[in-house]
Amino acid sequence: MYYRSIPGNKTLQQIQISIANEEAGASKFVENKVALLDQSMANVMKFVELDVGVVPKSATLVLAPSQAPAGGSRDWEGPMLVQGAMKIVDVYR
Amino acid sequence: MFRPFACSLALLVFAAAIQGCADNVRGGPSTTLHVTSDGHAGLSTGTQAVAPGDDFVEVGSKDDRDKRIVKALIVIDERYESFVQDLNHDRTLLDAGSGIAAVALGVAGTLTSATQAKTNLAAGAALLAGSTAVIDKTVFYEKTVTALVAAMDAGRSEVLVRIRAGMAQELNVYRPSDAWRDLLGYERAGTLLGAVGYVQATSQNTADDNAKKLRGICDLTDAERKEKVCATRSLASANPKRTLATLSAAAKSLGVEGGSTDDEIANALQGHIRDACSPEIGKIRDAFQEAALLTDCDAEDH
Repeated sequence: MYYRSIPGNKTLQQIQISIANEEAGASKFVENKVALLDQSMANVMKFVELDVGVVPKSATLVLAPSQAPAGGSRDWEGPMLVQGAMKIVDVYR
Repeated sequence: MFRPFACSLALLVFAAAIQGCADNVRGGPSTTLHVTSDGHAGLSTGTQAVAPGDDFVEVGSKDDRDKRIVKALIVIDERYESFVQDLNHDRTLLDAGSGIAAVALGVAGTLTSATQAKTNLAAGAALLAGSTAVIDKTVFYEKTVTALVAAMDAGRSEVLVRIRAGMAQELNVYRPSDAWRDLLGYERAGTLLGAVGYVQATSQNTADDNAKKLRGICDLTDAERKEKVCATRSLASANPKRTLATLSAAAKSLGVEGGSTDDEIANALQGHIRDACSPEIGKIRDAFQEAALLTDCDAEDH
């Protein structure tokens, strides 16, 4: 397990892309916490290392409450800073 | 409503100057989770409380439970919003010349009286930010209130997720006592002590689980992300081009060290890819190509 941070001013789409960027290296998003970093609040994401060569199915981020996209199931739900505001976000795959 | 700064910020009563501020001894809005004498569901309207939680003990159905939860959430949220507004209001009243009341962050227990304001603020800043820099007290208050409100919001959101998940469950799974406990937690998360606890917990977890310095996720272009995916897939055992020779050549080209077997080298290369940002992604692609390790990603694309 390891952590990566994302500033709190990103859009939901930008956060989704960031997760995809990280998962491209055989990792999978686990959860997000909003935490104090360098005297400002940011998103701190936990990732788990997957087996060598494995890229997980793409994650889709949607503001809660939401319905699963066709064929998708919810992986995680919780708080994220989106464009500076605290939101509840659903992560589907 | 005017409230002196000292009154609105103190979390624990260390000094006589902050007597009589009931909300602020708690460091948050007054609890709303009482049953009134006329039996109204779990909401404090200022009448005499019968006993906390009685209203939830009488729940007879899932719908009944959920209605009471929703009512309680509404009142807790109203009180919380009012508390935050007061915090922000008092921030603007700060008189930098008059000294600042003690910010009693009870977790540390080291902040005592207004006469040690500057030292206390530095200690408070250290508590929250993990550094020992002494900073201007006005700036500290600005950042502290903002950070604590954000931490309260985050803590409340986490509990709210749990409550929502519970409301989707049947009565015998998410029992009235579970709902009651979660509502108490939701209320507690909206207090300054709850915020400091949240910050401490998340900071500690991050420090415990991650030995490396926390860094941001790399910004990649679409093309770079695809190259990163392709490099990762090239390391899969299903790739016929993945041999000890091609792995060794790629690792040597990239200066990646790590073992002598193909699995060990592949693991080391995967770690390198995982941490790579631009322009390293391009170098990895070139090294894999030159080593004849790169799989045909266009053919594999879904």
